[in-house]
Amino acid sequence: MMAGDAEVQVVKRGETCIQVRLRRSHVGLTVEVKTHPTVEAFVRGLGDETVVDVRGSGRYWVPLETFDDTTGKKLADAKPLYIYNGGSLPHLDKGEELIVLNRPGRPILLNDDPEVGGHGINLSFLRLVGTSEGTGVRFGIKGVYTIEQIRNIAERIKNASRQFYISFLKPVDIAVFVSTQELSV
Amino acid sequence: MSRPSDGLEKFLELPKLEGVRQRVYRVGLELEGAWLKLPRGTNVQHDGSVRINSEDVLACGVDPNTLTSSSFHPGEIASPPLEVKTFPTWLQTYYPQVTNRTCGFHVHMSFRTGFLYQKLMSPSYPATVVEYMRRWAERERFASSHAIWPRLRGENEYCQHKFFAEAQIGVTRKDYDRSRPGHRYTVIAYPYAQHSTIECRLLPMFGDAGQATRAVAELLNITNGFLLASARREARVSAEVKADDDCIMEEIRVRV
Repeated sequence: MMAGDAEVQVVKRGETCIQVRLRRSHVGLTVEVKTHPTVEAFVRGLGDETVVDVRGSGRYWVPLETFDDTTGKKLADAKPLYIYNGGSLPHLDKGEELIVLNRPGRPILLNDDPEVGGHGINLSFLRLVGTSEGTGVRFGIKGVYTIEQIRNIAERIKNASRQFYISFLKPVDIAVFVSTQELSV
Repeated sequence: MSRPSDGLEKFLELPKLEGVRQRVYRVGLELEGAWLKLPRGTNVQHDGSVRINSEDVLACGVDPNTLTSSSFHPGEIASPPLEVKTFPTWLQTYYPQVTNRTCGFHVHMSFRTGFLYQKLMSPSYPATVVEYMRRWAERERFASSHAIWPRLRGENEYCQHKFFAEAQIGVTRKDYDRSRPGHRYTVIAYPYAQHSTIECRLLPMFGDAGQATRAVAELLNITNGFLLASARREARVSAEVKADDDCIMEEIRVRV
């Protein structure tokens, strides 16, 4: 339940909650993010409902032009990337993988980030504005990767996204039973 | 190492390649040796792996009566990033007069896009370089004692036949450990964070600038050919999370 929402949205069984697609490209890595409206509403609600240009947070994310997949014709110029501002998004430390949500504009692997402790997967792209609209958000991350790294990153994103869903979005129904017991004198 | 790419021959024929866009953007060269005469304004950098002595210098025809410790300057000279068409002239100007088996010849290549760099981050690329440079060496008819052969066989610790791309791309400073996993002493190294280049460490210093020029030209041809042979749109890799159950149900029972 999202406080203040006029309509409660729940991700129903079988619905895609988060989808991320990766491909090596001229900028390094092209990332396509599509989320359920519940996810974007959750992230938006954590902050002050304002948006900021991601360039203020880091220099690794770049906006991309849109091209027609069939004809290769350019459909739209690159637009700035905006993220939902503020809010407290805790790091999730689930077992060995540190899932980071507070590093927009930074690399997808945070191996050299001392504040993160040297290892972690960056899911901060979930804070991008528009991930639940149309085809989602498509952007680039600077860097170079082997094919094996891309496959490994995709697997880690899948596991981390699932933890994010379970930790923050999956409805929890808790029944509390309080019973008394007889006191013996 | 991995298998080399096959069928590059059609991409390596120079007349055909001249009509093909060169995918290497800039070239950087590192020459090791000793200079009897330095081009004006040039400083030789110290390199601990270069070990040249008076015998090497005398073998180049220097008059022993005039030989002193200051007669030659051992070390390394590195070029700035060069356009592909200008590297032969630079080599002709700066090539050292004295070399021996301890001297390596490192070639850095940069590319216009990260995509081309990534296409070369495959074990088959260094394997292809080794295979096709071996064929080039056979055409050049190097003597069996030439320094290039141990390098091609993987017997030189400064250009090991290993692939450490993932570890090398993030390294921001040089280290000199040749045995730890991820070290930089591989046939093809990937110092992306330092230089945004791919470095070929396979080649030794050659007898003259002309032969060095042919070696670099062949390396560029092999690289260009590899990129042409492997040019294809890459598939997307997907990560998807679906909601499985509607709700987590828990019961908490408290007795008071």
